[in-house]
Amino acid sequence: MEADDLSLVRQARAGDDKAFQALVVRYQRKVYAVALGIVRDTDTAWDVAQEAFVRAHGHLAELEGEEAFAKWLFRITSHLSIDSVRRERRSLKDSMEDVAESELNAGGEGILSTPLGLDPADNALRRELAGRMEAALSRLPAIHREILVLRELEGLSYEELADRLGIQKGTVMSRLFHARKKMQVLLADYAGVPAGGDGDGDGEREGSEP
Amino acid sequence: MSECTGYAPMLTARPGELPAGDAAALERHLDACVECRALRTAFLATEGLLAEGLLAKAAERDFAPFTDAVMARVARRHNRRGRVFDWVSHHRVRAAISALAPAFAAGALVVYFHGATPDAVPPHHLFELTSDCGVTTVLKTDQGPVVLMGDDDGDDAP
Repeated sequence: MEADDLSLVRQARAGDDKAFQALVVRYQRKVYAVALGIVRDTDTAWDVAQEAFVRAHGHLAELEGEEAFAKWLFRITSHLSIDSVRRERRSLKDSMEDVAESELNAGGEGILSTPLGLDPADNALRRELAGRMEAALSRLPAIHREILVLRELEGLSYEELADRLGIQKGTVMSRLFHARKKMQVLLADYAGVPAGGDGDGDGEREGSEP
Repeated sequence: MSECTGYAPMLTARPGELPAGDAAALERHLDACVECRALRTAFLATEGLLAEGLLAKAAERDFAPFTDAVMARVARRHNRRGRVFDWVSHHRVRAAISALAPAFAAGALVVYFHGATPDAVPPHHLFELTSDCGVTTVLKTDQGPVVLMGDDDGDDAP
Protein backbone atom coordinates (compact mmCIF):
# COMPACT_ATOMS: atom_id res chain seq x y z
CA MET A 1 0.00 0.00 0.00
CA GLU A 2 1.32 3.46 -0.89
CA ALA A 3 2.24 5.75 1.93
CA ASP A 4 0.13 8.89 2.14
CA ASP A 5 1.60 12.31 1.57
CA LEU A 6 1.66 13.24 5.21
CA SER A 7 3.71 10.26 6.32
CA LEU A 8 6.10 10.75 3.40
CA VAL A 9 6.48 14.40 4.34
CA ARG A 10 7.24 13.45 7.95
CA GLN A 11 9.87 10.95 6.83
CA ALA A 12 11.39 13.44 4.41
CA ARG A 13 11.56 16.04 7.16
CA ALA A 14 13.48 13.54 9.24
CA GLY A 15 16.03 13.29 6.45
CA ASP A 16 14.70 10.34 4.49
CA ASP A 17 15.45 11.22 0.88
CA LYS A 18 13.70 8.10 -0.39
CA ALA A 19 10.48 9.42 1.06
CA PHE A 20 10.97 12.73 -0.69
CA GLN A 21 11.76 10.91 -3.91
CA ALA A 22 8.44 9.11 -3.63
CA LEU A 23 6.72 12.50 -3.44
CA VAL A 24 8.66 13.70 -6.47
CA VAL A 25 7.63 10.67 -8.49
CA ARG A 26 4.04 11.06 -7.37
CA TYR A 27 3.67 14.72 -8.35
CA GLN A 28 6.30 15.49 -10.96
CA ARG A 29 4.02 15.21 -13.98
CA LYS A 30 1.35 17.39 -12.50
CA VAL A 31 3.87 19.96 -11.32
CA TYR A 32 5.38 20.00 -14.79
CA ALA A 33 1.90 20.36 -16.32
CA VAL A 34 1.13 23.37 -14.12
CA ALA A 35 4.44 24.98 -15.04
CA LEU A 36 4.01 24.20 -18.73
CA GLY A 37 0.54 25.69 -18.77
CA ILE A 38 1.86 28.98 -17.43
CA VAL A 39 5.32 29.34 -18.94
CA ARG A 40 4.57 27.62 -22.30
CA ASP A 41 8.17 26.63 -23.02
CA THR A 42 8.88 22.96 -22.27
CA ASP A 43 12.48 23.49 -21.12
CA THR A 44 11.54 26.38 -18.86
CA ALA A 45 8.67 24.34 -17.44
CA TRP A 46 11.09 21.48 -16.77
CA ASP A 47 13.44 23.81 -14.89
CA VAL A 48 10.66 25.51 -12.98
CA ALA A 49 9.23 22.14 -11.93
CA GLN A 50 12.60 20.97 -10.66
CA GLU A 51 13.13 24.21 -8.77
CA ALA A 52 9.69 23.81 -7.19
CA PHE A 53 10.64 20.42 -5.75
CA VAL A 54 14.02 21.63 -4.54
CA ARG A 55 12.43 24.62 -2.83
CA ALA A 56 9.75 22.42 -1.35
CA HIS A 57 12.42 20.15 0.07
CA GLY A 58 14.28 23.09 1.54
CA HIS A 59 11.15 24.39 3.24
CA LEU A 60 9.47 21.17 4.36
CA ALA A 61 9.77 22.35 7.96
CA GLU A 62 7.49 25.26 7.11
CA LEU A 63 4.69 23.00 5.93
CA GLU A 64 2.33 23.38 8.80
CA GLY A 65 0.56 20.47 10.41
CA GLU A 66 -1.87 18.77 8.14
CA GLU A 67 -1.64 21.24 5.27
CA ALA A 68 -1.85 19.29 2.06
CA PHE A 69 1.57 18.79 0.55
CA ALA A 70 0.20 18.77 -3.00
CA LYS A 71 -1.61 22.07 -2.64
CA TRP A 72 1.46 23.67 -1.10
CA LEU A 73 3.69 22.26 -3.83
CA PHE A 74 1.43 23.56 -6.60
CA ARG A 75 1.40 26.95 -4.94
CA ILE A 76 5.19 27.03 -5.05
CA THR A 77 5.09 25.89 -8.67
CA SER A 78 2.62 28.49 -9.81
CA HIS A 79 4.51 31.25 -8.00
CA LEU A 80 7.75 30.23 -9.68
CA SER A 81 6.00 29.93 -13.05
CA ILE A 82 4.39 33.34 -12.79
CA ASP A 83 7.71 34.84 -11.71
CA SER A 84 9.35 33.25 -14.72
CA VAL A 85 6.74 34.67 -17.08
CA ARG A 86 7.13 38.12 -15.53
CA ARG A 87 10.90 38.00 -15.91
CA GLU A 88 10.46 36.99 -19.53
CA ARG A 89 8.01 39.82 -20.04
CA ARG A 90 10.42 42.33 -18.60
CA SER A 91 13.31 41.13 -20.73
CA LEU A 92 11.46 40.56 -23.92
CA LYS A 93 8.43 42.81 -24.05
CA ASP A 94 5.82 40.12 -24.33
CA SER A 95 4.30 39.80 -27.75
CA MET A 96 1.24 38.32 -26.10
CA GLU A 97 -0.10 36.74 -29.29
CA ASP A 98 -3.45 37.89 -28.14
CA VAL A 99 -6.64 36.72 -29.72
CA ALA A 100 -8.06 39.61 -31.69
CA GLU A 101 -11.24 41.10 -30.32
CA SER A 102 -12.84 40.53 -33.70
CA GLU A 103 -12.17 36.81 -33.28
CA LEU A 104 -13.64 36.96 -29.82
CA ASN A 105 -16.76 38.68 -30.96
CA ALA A 106 -17.17 36.33 -33.87
CA GLY A 107 -17.22 33.14 -31.88
CA GLY A 108 -17.25 31.33 -28.64
CA GLU A 109 -20.81 30.28 -28.23
CA GLY A 110 -21.75 26.67 -27.88
CA ILE A 111 -18.85 25.70 -30.04
CA LEU A 112 -18.05 22.46 -28.39
CA SER A 113 -21.36 21.55 -26.96
CA THR A 114 -22.85 20.74 -30.34
CA PRO A 115 -20.29 18.32 -31.72
CA LEU A 116 -19.25 16.98 -28.35
CA GLY A 117 -22.61 16.74 -26.73
CA LEU A 118 -23.27 17.78 -23.20
CA ASP A 119 -21.31 14.93 -21.74
CA PRO A 120 -18.27 14.57 -23.95
CA ALA A 121 -16.42 12.14 -21.71
CA ASP A 122 -14.69 9.41 -23.70
CA ASN A 123 -15.49 11.33 -26.79
CA ALA A 124 -12.80 11.03 -29.45
CA LEU A 125 -13.04 14.70 -30.30
CA ARG A 126 -12.54 15.58 -26.67
CA ARG A 127 -9.36 13.56 -26.59
CA GLU A 128 -8.27 15.20 -29.80
CA LEU A 129 -8.97 18.62 -28.36
CA ALA A 130 -7.15 17.81 -25.14
CA GLY A 131 -4.16 16.96 -27.30
CA ARG A 132 -4.31 20.39 -28.87
CA MET A 133 -4.96 22.24 -25.68
CA GLU A 134 -1.35 23.17 -25.07
CA ALA A 135 -1.06 24.78 -28.48
CA ALA A 136 -4.30 26.70 -27.93
CA LEU A 137 -3.15 27.76 -24.49
CA SER A 138 0.09 29.13 -25.88
CA ARG A 139 -1.94 31.61 -27.94
CA LEU A 140 -3.54 33.14 -24.88
CA PRO A 141 -2.08 36.15 -23.09
CA ALA A 142 -0.07 35.28 -20.00
CA ILE A 143 -2.68 36.54 -17.55
CA HIS A 144 -5.31 34.29 -19.11
CA ARG A 145 -3.02 31.28 -19.16
CA GLU A 146 -2.21 31.80 -15.52
CA ILE A 147 -5.77 32.00 -14.36
CA LEU A 148 -6.96 29.05 -16.45
CA VAL A 149 -4.17 26.81 -15.22
CA LEU A 150 -4.70 27.79 -11.61
CA ARG A 151 -8.41 27.20 -11.96
CA GLU A 152 -8.31 23.93 -13.83
CA LEU A 153 -5.16 22.24 -12.64
CA GLU A 154 -5.05 23.52 -9.11
CA GLY A 155 -8.80 23.78 -8.81
CA LEU A 156 -8.69 27.13 -7.03
CA SER A 157 -11.90 28.90 -6.12
CA TYR A 158 -12.65 32.53 -6.97
CA GLU A 159 -11.44 33.60 -3.53
CA GLU A 160 -8.27 31.55 -3.76
CA LEU A 161 -7.54 32.93 -7.21
CA ALA A 162 -8.05 36.47 -5.96
CA ASP A 163 -5.67 35.80 -3.11
CA ARG A 164 -3.04 34.09 -5.25
CA LEU A 165 -3.07 36.68 -8.02
CA GLY A 166 -3.56 39.69 -5.78
CA ILE A 167 -6.66 40.92 -7.58
CA GLN A 168 -10.29 41.50 -6.69
CA LYS A 169 -12.80 38.68 -6.88
CA GLY A 170 -14.74 40.57 -9.55
CA THR A 171 -11.59 40.82 -11.63
CA VAL A 172 -11.05 37.11 -11.20
CA MET A 173 -14.53 36.36 -12.53
CA SER A 174 -14.12 38.71 -15.45
CA ARG A 175 -10.63 37.49 -16.34
CA LEU A 176 -11.67 33.87 -16.07
CA PHE A 177 -14.68 34.45 -18.27
CA HIS A 178 -12.62 36.07 -21.00
CA ALA A 179 -9.92 33.42 -20.75
CA ARG A 180 -12.43 30.64 -21.15
CA LYS A 181 -14.16 32.39 -23.98
CA LYS A 182 -10.93 32.93 -25.87
CA MET A 183 -10.08 29.31 -25.35
CA GLN A 184 -13.46 28.36 -26.79
CA VAL A 185 -12.68 30.39 -29.88
CA LEU A 186 -9.30 28.75 -30.31
CA LEU A 187 -10.68 25.29 -29.79
CA ALA A 188 -13.35 26.03 -32.36
CA ASP A 189 -10.54 26.60 -34.83
CA TYR A 190 -9.07 23.23 -34.02
CA ALA A 191 -12.38 21.43 -34.01
CA GLY A 192 -13.41 23.00 -37.28
CA VAL A 193 -16.73 23.94 -35.83
CA PRO A 194 -18.37 27.03 -37.27
CA ALA A 195 -18.44 29.78 -34.69
CA GLY A 196 -21.66 31.59 -33.96
CA GLY A 197 -22.31 35.03 -32.49
CA ASP A 198 -21.73 35.28 -28.81
CA GLY A 199 -24.33 37.81 -27.90
CA ASP A 200 -22.71 39.30 -24.86
CA GLY A 201 -20.99 41.95 -26.86
CA ASP A 202 -18.21 42.64 -24.46
CA GLY A 203 -14.57 41.86 -24.71
CA GLU A 204 -11.48 42.27 -22.72
CA ARG A 205 -8.11 43.54 -23.60
CA GLU A 206 -5.02 42.54 -21.73
CA GLY A 207 -4.99 44.05 -18.29
CA SER A 208 -8.18 46.04 -18.74
CA GLU A 209 -10.60 44.11 -16.61
CA PRO A 210 -12.92 46.00 -14.38
CA MET B 1 -24.18 47.54 -19.92
CA SER B 2 -26.46 44.87 -21.26
CA GLU B 3 -27.99 42.35 -18.92
CA CYS B 4 -25.86 39.60 -20.48
CA THR B 5 -22.66 41.50 -19.80
CA GLY B 6 -23.51 41.64 -16.15
CA TYR B 7 -24.14 37.91 -15.93
CA ALA B 8 -21.30 36.79 -18.20
CA PRO B 9 -18.58 36.66 -15.49
CA MET B 10 -20.84 34.40 -13.41
CA LEU B 11 -20.91 31.76 -16.14
CA THR B 12 -17.61 30.30 -14.99
CA ALA B 13 -18.81 29.75 -11.42
CA ARG B 14 -18.78 26.29 -9.96
CA PRO B 15 -21.75 25.01 -7.97
CA GLY B 16 -21.94 26.80 -4.66
CA GLU B 17 -19.39 29.43 -5.60
CA LEU B 18 -21.84 32.29 -6.08
CA PRO B 19 -23.85 33.87 -3.30
CA ALA B 20 -27.35 32.43 -3.24
CA GLY B 21 -28.95 35.63 -4.52
CA ASP B 22 -26.58 35.89 -7.49
CA ALA B 23 -26.98 32.22 -8.31
CA ALA B 24 -30.75 32.53 -8.36
CA ALA B 25 -30.62 35.67 -10.51
CA LEU B 26 -28.24 33.93 -12.92
CA GLU B 27 -30.57 30.95 -13.24
CA ARG B 28 -33.47 33.24 -14.01
CA HIS B 29 -31.39 34.98 -16.65
CA LEU B 30 -30.30 31.68 -18.18
CA ASP B 31 -33.91 30.53 -18.39
CA ALA B 32 -34.62 33.55 -20.52
CA CYS B 33 -31.38 33.93 -22.50
CA VAL B 34 -30.51 31.32 -25.11
CA GLU B 35 -27.09 32.79 -25.85
CA CYS B 36 -25.85 32.80 -22.26
CA ARG B 37 -27.26 29.34 -21.76
CA ALA B 38 -25.33 28.08 -24.79
CA LEU B 39 -22.16 29.73 -23.59
CA ARG B 40 -22.40 28.15 -20.18
CA THR B 41 -23.06 24.78 -21.77
CA ALA B 42 -19.91 25.24 -23.83
CA PHE B 43 -17.91 26.13 -20.74
CA LEU B 44 -19.18 23.05 -18.92
CA ALA B 45 -18.37 20.87 -21.92
CA THR B 46 -14.76 21.96 -21.91
CA GLU B 47 -14.30 22.00 -18.16
CA GLY B 48 -11.26 19.93 -17.30
CA LEU B 49 -10.04 19.75 -20.88
CA LEU B 50 -7.07 21.96 -20.15
CA ALA B 51 -5.90 19.75 -17.32
CA GLU B 52 -6.32 16.69 -19.51
CA GLY B 53 -4.34 18.26 -22.31
CA LEU B 54 -1.47 19.41 -20.15
CA LEU B 55 -1.25 16.16 -18.24
CA ALA B 56 -1.28 14.26 -21.53
CA LYS B 57 1.58 16.44 -22.69
CA ALA B 58 3.47 15.76 -19.47
CA ALA B 59 2.86 12.03 -19.84
CA GLU B 60 4.70 12.08 -23.16
CA ARG B 61 7.99 12.85 -21.42
CA ASP B 62 10.33 10.50 -19.66
CA PHE B 63 10.58 11.74 -16.09
CA ALA B 64 13.39 9.49 -14.92
CA PRO B 65 16.01 12.19 -15.59
CA PHE B 66 13.77 14.70 -13.84
CA THR B 67 13.61 12.64 -10.66
CA ASP B 68 17.35 12.03 -10.76
CA ALA B 69 18.11 15.72 -11.24
CA VAL B 70 15.88 16.78 -8.36
CA MET B 71 17.33 14.19 -6.02
CA ALA B 72 20.88 15.12 -7.02
CA ARG B 73 20.18 18.74 -6.15
CA VAL B 74 18.61 17.73 -2.87
CA ALA B 75 21.66 15.58 -2.08
CA ARG B 76 23.99 18.50 -2.87
CA ARG B 77 22.08 20.66 -0.41
CA HIS B 78 22.43 17.92 2.21
CA ASN B 79 26.15 17.70 1.52
CA ARG B 80 26.68 21.43 1.81
CA ARG B 81 24.82 21.49 5.08
CA GLY B 82 26.70 18.39 6.21
CA ARG B 83 30.11 19.89 5.45
CA VAL B 84 29.35 22.96 7.55
CA PHE B 85 28.19 20.76 10.41
CA ASP B 86 31.31 18.59 10.20
CA TRP B 87 33.62 21.60 10.25
CA VAL B 88 31.89 23.02 13.30
CA SER B 89 32.12 19.66 15.08
CA HIS B 90 35.82 19.28 14.45
CA HIS B 91 36.83 22.88 15.10
CA ARG B 92 34.76 23.82 18.07
CA VAL B 93 37.15 26.42 19.45
CA ARG B 94 37.58 28.07 16.08
CA ALA B 95 33.85 27.92 15.51
CA ALA B 96 33.21 29.53 18.90
CA ILE B 97 35.74 32.28 18.16
CA SER B 98 34.24 32.80 14.74
CA ALA B 99 30.81 33.05 16.24
CA LEU B 100 31.93 35.45 18.97
CA ALA B 101 34.13 37.62 16.79
CA PRO B 102 31.26 39.78 15.54
CA ALA B 103 30.12 40.29 19.13
CA PHE B 104 33.58 41.41 20.19
CA ALA B 105 33.82 43.72 17.22
CA ALA B 106 30.44 45.21 18.03
CA GLY B 107 31.48 45.69 21.66
CA ALA B 108 34.68 47.43 20.62
CA LEU B 109 32.73 49.80 18.41
CA VAL B 110 30.34 50.63 21.21
CA VAL B 111 33.23 51.44 23.56
CA TYR B 112 34.95 53.51 20.90
CA PHE B 113 31.91 55.58 19.99
CA HIS B 114 30.80 55.96 23.57
CA GLY B 115 34.21 57.45 24.37
CA ALA B 116 33.85 59.91 21.53
CA THR B 117 30.60 61.42 22.69
CA PRO B 118 30.46 65.16 23.52
CA ASP B 119 29.68 64.35 27.14
CA ALA B 120 32.97 62.61 27.54
CA VAL B 121 35.44 64.12 29.97
CA PRO B 122 38.01 66.19 28.06
CA PRO B 123 41.56 64.96 28.24
CA HIS B 124 43.45 66.30 31.20
CA HIS B 125 46.29 68.68 30.34
CA LEU B 126 49.29 67.93 32.49
CA PHE B 127 51.03 71.14 31.63
CA GLU B 128 51.08 73.99 29.19
CA LEU B 129 54.35 75.23 27.76
CA THR B 130 54.86 78.89 27.08
CA SER B 131 57.93 80.84 26.08
CA ASP B 132 58.75 84.42 26.76
CA CYS B 133 61.01 86.07 24.17
CA GLY B 134 62.80 82.81 23.69
CA VAL B 135 64.56 83.31 27.00
CA THR B 136 62.33 82.25 29.84
CA THR B 137 60.12 79.22 29.71
CA VAL B 138 57.16 78.79 32.04
CA LEU B 139 55.66 75.37 32.55
CA LYS B 140 52.18 75.28 34.02
CA THR B 141 51.86 71.98 35.81
CA ASP B 142 49.35 70.42 38.13
CA GLN B 143 51.49 71.60 40.95
CA GLY B 144 51.58 75.18 39.64
CA PRO B 145 53.82 77.13 37.27
CA VAL B 146 57.48 76.23 36.97
CA VAL B 147 59.79 78.86 35.53
CA LEU B 148 62.76 77.59 33.60
CA MET B 149 65.47 80.15 33.32
CA GLY B 150 67.32 80.31 30.07
CA ASP B 151 71.01 79.43 30.23
CA ASP B 152 71.92 82.52 28.19
CA ASP B 153 71.03 85.24 30.65
CA GLY B 154 73.64 87.42 29.08
CA ASP B 155 76.65 85.49 30.16
CA ASP B 156 77.05 83.77 26.88
CA ALA B 157 75.80 86.57 24.74
CA PRO B 158 78.10 87.46 21.92
